[in-house]
Amino acid sequence: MARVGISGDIIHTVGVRYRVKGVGSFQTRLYNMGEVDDNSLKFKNLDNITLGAKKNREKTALANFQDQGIQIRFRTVFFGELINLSKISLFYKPVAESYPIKTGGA
Amino acid sequence: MPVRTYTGLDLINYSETDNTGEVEALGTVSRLVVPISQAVLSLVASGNGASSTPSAFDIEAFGSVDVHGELDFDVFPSIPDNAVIMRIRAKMEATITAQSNATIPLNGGLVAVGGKVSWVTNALELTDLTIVVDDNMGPGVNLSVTQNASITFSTEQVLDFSPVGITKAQLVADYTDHDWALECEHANPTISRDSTATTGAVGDFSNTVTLNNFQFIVEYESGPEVSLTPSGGNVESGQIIQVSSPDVDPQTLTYAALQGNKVIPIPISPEGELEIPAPPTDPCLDCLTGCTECDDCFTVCEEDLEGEACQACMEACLDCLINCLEDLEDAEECQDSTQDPPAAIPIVIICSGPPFPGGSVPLGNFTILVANASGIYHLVDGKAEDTLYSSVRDGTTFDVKIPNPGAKTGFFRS
Repeated sequence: MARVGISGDIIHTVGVRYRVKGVGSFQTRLYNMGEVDDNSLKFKNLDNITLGAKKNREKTALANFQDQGIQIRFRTVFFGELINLSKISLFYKPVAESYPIKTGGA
Repeated sequence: MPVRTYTGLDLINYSETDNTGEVEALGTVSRLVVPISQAVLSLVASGNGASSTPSAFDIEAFGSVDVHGELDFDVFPSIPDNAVIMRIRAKMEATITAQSNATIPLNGGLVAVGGKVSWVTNALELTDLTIVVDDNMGPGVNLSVTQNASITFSTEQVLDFSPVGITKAQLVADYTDHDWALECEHANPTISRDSTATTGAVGDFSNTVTLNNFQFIVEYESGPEVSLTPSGGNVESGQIIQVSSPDVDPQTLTYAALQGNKVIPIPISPEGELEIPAPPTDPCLDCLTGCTECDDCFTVCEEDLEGEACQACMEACLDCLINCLEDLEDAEECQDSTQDPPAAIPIVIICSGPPFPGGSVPLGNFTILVANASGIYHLVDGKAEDTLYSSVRDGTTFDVKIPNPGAKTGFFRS
């Protein structure tokens, strides 16, 4: 059975990897699905990545976060900072089929 | 409330006082420019116990340095206005070195040297430095002896205002110019000779006091610490300011921007962020809000009245509106509205809430660079700022921050 993007499994992520260079401090925040469908906004700030000149290694921000959907927000916030981002990888895997279910509810 | 400390250093001035001696004394005080926390007091005295003098004589060199410390509260910007000052501590370290010398002339005698240096800090603390007396020199011929000693200690004065404390305003008013009167005195070596000596002994005494590491420490109680990132400076409308506090949930506080006397509430986002408010609207629009009563009047006439009554009502409303607009034309603020708004608007972001029962506290001073920024972005390779052109059309440009460049991905799902 196809299970891509529609089954609603609980997924657990352990990190985000970027191919990024620039100047400044690169901030990452992970959101759960409350961002879009209700007021139960939940997010987690990951460790900042210090940007620098191009290197031969991609940079990873470790995470410990799970929900039915995970959204990545990245940004810089200070004057003069610069981002050059060419790849994002999210490391995750399903850990449960669903939250506890009762009739008529989720 | 939490007790906080702020350590500042601002030794503004010093003065020197008496230098006297029974035989001879000379004292000098010099302040070292770097570091500014140092001052040096030097005392030198010498004497000659000729045959006509008593068999023992003192070389006395009195000197003192009064440290006149002025608290410059410009260096204490982080102390909030609503702080309760509990105490001020003035700390310093002192190093005293002393040397005493004596020489017996050819025909001999018994010589002893010694001395004492005391450091008095407003009678709160007394530390003595005593040079070891050598009284076993002679009789001899052409003997000389030198004794050295050195000691380092720290001292502190406390102005205690607890348990009630004083306000920051009182602190500035009463203690900005305060004489701490740290005093060094009484360098007093004795050089003696045996009565069998037929000519006098000679001796000298030198003493140097180095004062180090002046510190003024203000201990105060205040409400929770709330800080902004950035903490101030130039911003543009819509820029995001992050609020953080180690003591309180920022969501429980209320924030506003003060622009002159105008208070502009700023809501805090669930992520603890404030958005720099939009520049003020056209002042004339504010004036026109006074005419909404006239506008409503027309609506009431149409909906509730008919015929001549409606017409009379409408005419009355028209007179109302005409009078209102005439008043607006005369209003000074509307005259000014024909001018371009200022290119830079200073604002102060404040917060208030239960932890600040005394009212609001300022969090940072910001300047909205271009009040009605019409962004013209000139793309330049490698340039990490936006270029905004001033509305005053004089060619003035500002490099401003690109508002939090970044992106959100879609949702990763299984």
